Amino acid sequence: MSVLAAYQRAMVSLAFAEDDARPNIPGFELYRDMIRARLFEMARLAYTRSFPGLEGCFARYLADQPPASPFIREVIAGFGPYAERESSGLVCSLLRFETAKWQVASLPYPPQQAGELDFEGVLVVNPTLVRVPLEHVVTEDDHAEPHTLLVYRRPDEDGVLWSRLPRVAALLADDAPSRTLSERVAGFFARGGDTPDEDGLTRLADELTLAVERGILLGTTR
Amino acid sequence: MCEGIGLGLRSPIAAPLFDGSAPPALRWLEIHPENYLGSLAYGGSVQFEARGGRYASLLAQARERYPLLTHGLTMGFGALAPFDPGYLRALRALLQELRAPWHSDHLCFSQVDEVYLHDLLPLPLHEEAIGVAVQRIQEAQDALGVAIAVEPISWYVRPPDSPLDEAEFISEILRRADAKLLLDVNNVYVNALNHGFDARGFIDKLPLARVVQLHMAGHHVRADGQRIDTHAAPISEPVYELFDYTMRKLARPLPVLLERDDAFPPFEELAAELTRLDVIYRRALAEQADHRALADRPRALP
Repeated sequence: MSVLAAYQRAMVSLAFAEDDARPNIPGFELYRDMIRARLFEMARLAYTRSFPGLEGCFARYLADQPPASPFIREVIAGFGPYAERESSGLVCSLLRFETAKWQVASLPYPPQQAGELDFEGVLVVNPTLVRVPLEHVVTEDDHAEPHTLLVYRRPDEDGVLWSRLPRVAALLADDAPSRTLSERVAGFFARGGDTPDEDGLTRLADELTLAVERGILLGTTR
Repeated sequence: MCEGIGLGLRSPIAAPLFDGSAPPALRWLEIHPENYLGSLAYGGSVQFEARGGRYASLLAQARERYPLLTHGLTMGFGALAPFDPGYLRALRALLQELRAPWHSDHLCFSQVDEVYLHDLLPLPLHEEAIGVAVQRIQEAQDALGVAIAVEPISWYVRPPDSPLDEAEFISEILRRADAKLLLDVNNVYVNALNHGFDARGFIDKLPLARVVQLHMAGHHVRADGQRIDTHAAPISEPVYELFDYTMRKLARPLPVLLERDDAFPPFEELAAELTRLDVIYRRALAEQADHRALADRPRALP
């Protein structure tokens, strides 16, 4: 290994090794502090609610999985799944929710073509939509039982939104993009998503309407 | 064509740039491409596409109103490994879309093997580092299809095995790679104070004909006196003076950037800094024009 390579690799260890494992390189501690301060600050920003108490976990994350993306926000997004392995209960749900919000904020929203909802058409879904399965309450209007939040962004707005529409979430769980809406609905009732009667259909129709109004579903295409 | 005073596009100070309250001195904006590209949407594969959300709309607004220059944060030219080809392809597409006249990044290393440091680390001042930097710059020029402007960084510790003089190190890299120079005046000042050399003498030794752009920023002074290049404070008086000196040496129009990355003040304070930079910039150019006029004045025959 060349002198230059040895020096550069030593800097990686200095930056990301845990406190008790970092090499002693006189004078360079300032660089460790600067690199880590930036990453910790951004993690606090992304994981506003879940990060307190997870500082040690974040340090282990940096040591185990040093940043592998040129985009610092993507380095931060990798912390949620890592921290889930070391966490339990509400913290896991919070991590999953906050990771989704962080990612959705930056997802591309390419132009979509969709007509009105047609049961013989194929659903066109908001391209930023992420389904987040949760075991615990993370938002005010959540229910305590396991549920799925739909996290998304509208094309002309910056803010990240979320909705709890269990029937729509169940429809979308049927991960076969070419399936028509009527096939998805049939699958939903066959899986016991609701009672297959007029009331069940009405509840599903109401949620579909809400999903369209909120920009979660954009319509269908033939 | 970008000339005069510019500002780094940052989300917290974006609104006044687009609502008509920016000062007349502001002529252009600089962007970090890393803020407008991404890979996460594609399962982490090495495929880069435009980023969506707030940053995408910021970029669209900026393009409507201002000329743009690009300044990277992750392609330190001292990296031992070649740059990621997927990243280069995406960056090239962005630069072409923006019609960037050049792309700048730092003379440092920010990546080692597969790891990104997300900071600017100093290169040892020796022949091996020169060779690596020249190779990386040439690869970037070829891959991106634009000229590369190299920015020497603020550094806080001299890396071991650094027998060369810094100005000679920079000059040699620029000469061999035939690259342009982005001169950060605040970096020169910070380094001069931290390491005890003369800032003006340092600037005198640089190949000023290669300078295509200047950066100006504020820095933090720690309790022990060490200066840290934070871009989170107003420009200090000595840095304004060094800018004046540099502009008189350069004596030609070029883009000058005010970098502010954190601790954002009310926009009026930034506007005042932009205006003050513009006054110094114009005065230096006007005096140069006066000198030329005097030199060109017809003289009476003896």
